[in-house]
Amino acid sequence: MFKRSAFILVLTVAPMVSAQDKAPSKAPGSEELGATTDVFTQTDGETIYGTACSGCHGPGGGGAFGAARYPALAGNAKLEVARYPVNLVVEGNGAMPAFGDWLDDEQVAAVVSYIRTAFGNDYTDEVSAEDVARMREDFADLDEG
Amino acid sequence: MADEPPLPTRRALLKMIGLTAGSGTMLNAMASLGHARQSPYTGPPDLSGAPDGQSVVVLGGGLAGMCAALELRRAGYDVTILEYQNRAGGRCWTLKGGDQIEELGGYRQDVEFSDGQYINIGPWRIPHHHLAVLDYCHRLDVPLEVFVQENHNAYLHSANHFDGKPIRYGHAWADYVGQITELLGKATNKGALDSNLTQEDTEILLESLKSFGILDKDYRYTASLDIAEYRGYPDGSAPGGGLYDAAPEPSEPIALKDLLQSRFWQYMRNHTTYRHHAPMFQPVGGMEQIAKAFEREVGDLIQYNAQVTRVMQSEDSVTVEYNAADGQGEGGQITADYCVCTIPFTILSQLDVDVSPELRQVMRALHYYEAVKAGLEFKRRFWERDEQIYGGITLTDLPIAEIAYPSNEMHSSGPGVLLGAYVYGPHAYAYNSMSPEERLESVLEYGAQIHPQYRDEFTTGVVLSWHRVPWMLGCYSNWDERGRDYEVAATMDNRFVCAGEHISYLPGWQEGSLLSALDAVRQIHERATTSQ
Repeated sequence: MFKRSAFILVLTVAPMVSAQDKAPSKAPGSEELGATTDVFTQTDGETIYGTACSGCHGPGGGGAFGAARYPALAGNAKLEVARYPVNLVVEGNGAMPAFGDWLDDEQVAAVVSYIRTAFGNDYTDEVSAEDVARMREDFADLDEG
Repeated sequence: MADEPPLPTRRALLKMIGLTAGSGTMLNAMASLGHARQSPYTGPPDLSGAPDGQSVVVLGGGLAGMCAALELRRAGYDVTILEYQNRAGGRCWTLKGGDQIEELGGYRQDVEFSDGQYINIGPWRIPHHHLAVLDYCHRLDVPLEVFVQENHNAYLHSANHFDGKPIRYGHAWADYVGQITELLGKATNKGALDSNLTQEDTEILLESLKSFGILDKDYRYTASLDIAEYRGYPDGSAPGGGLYDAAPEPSEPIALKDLLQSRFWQYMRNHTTYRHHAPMFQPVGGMEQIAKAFEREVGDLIQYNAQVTRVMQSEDSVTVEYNAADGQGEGGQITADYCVCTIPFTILSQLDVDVSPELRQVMRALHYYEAVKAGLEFKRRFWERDEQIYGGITLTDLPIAEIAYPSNEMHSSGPGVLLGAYVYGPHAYAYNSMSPEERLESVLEYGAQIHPQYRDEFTTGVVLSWHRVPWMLGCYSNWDERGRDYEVAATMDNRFVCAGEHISYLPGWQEGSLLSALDAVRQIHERATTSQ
């Protein structure tokens, strides 16, 4: 993803690695931070949540409140239909950034499955990588339409 | 005719116009006299003829909001600014000793920098073509100093190349340019360009390659005193005086293969983007000096601690409801004829705002960048004294991404504050998920790989994640494609008009905030003067 960065310039024309390609394990930060410049490298849902999501939504999924909010995921009825969190993770909305370029289908499935069964949520129907791949296509079609 | 006074020179004419009519007029005049102006900024807006008794409520006391308020009040409008924080300036923000940062999730960082030391945790540099920012700095008396962007003695660094040792930017740059020039010379000499160039132009090209790449008579880039003149000399072998160690020695270029594999080339146009061309500037004493200058003008209009919750529009007014942001004091309601809203869309999209469905949709669709920035104070300016790095930026593939050396107080014997990390992308979310202490430890650990002095010299630091800033929920706007959405966002909706860096083609730059504010003001004034 090309950053039109402004406060500073990160014209890092880093090699275009899609989330589907596994980043080389030597990539700086992959072991310590669970991420490279281009992708998140972890695979376990709870671990990905701890790296990518918990800063805003809270370690316990409680959300955060300032001038506006990061919604709580704990006891969040909107998680009932998996397509909703998958859409938000992949495409973003409002204050939620799009993580679709940084997480592959397996990772999206893992983190969505985690938040749908953690924090007191109990939506146990599995979300698979194949489901995520299919939804990504749907979202792209909708965007174009 | 001999009696007529000589025509004034163009410079004298400009000076006369400037003296009598103010700098905005001067800018207009310069444009009409044929000077290229690299900005749409044409000086302060002409808002003459504002109807009596018209009022504007401005949401947000950052640069856009304060600029809009300044110009509207000057034109005769009755202005109120509602600001969520207890400070003015928004992202134009400088952290100094005694400041506190409150982050979402309950983290608090106390800034403990020494007297006079600071970090610009938001915007930190001003291009010479950002004419609105520069003009307001003139008008509001904000002294500027040079910001060093490019420094050939700073480093490029890769964890996995050159044994993880930093390489002087100037070495890598000269050697890369020299060796790709050498390759082009070879191709040219083999006739590869014969179909593109005449014989004469081919000869000129070869001559230019030799001159530009510092190639020898055989078109080779090799160790020599000639290339040392450009890339620098080996350590301890620079030109001296007297007898001992005085004669310079040639330095050995870095092999092209190593430069290619290190991917250092990806950094080599960084400082040459239009927005980073030298010279760049910074306010003396921190970026917040711009905010403070605006605050001196319009601070009396600002109601602090006001969290906007709702914006209602009718045919002839706008009503804004707000709570006390700290939950302590009173909330309230303000009704005005017009509203300039600088609240970022991360927040505005969650409020109850009475605008067209189309604008609501655009608010939700606009994404914001993440960013993490660290300010680290060291007892001693070791980068200057030990490594001869005065200002500029080291770029690395470590998660900190860069280290920027301060352009203020160069060569002082006191402490200095570095920008110790400027992080985007997945790494920024990883830092966003850490406590401030964990972030700081990580930033120090990585930085020490480039500057081993870190651990001995470090005194105190802050690491801010913009997603945790309660009044931002992100750093700055990230438009995929502007198109129709941008037009909707930038166009007045009944009596409500948005402004801020997100309503500009300069996202994240203060110039964008000011230019959008001026356009918002223009739209309001146009409406106010035509609808009477």
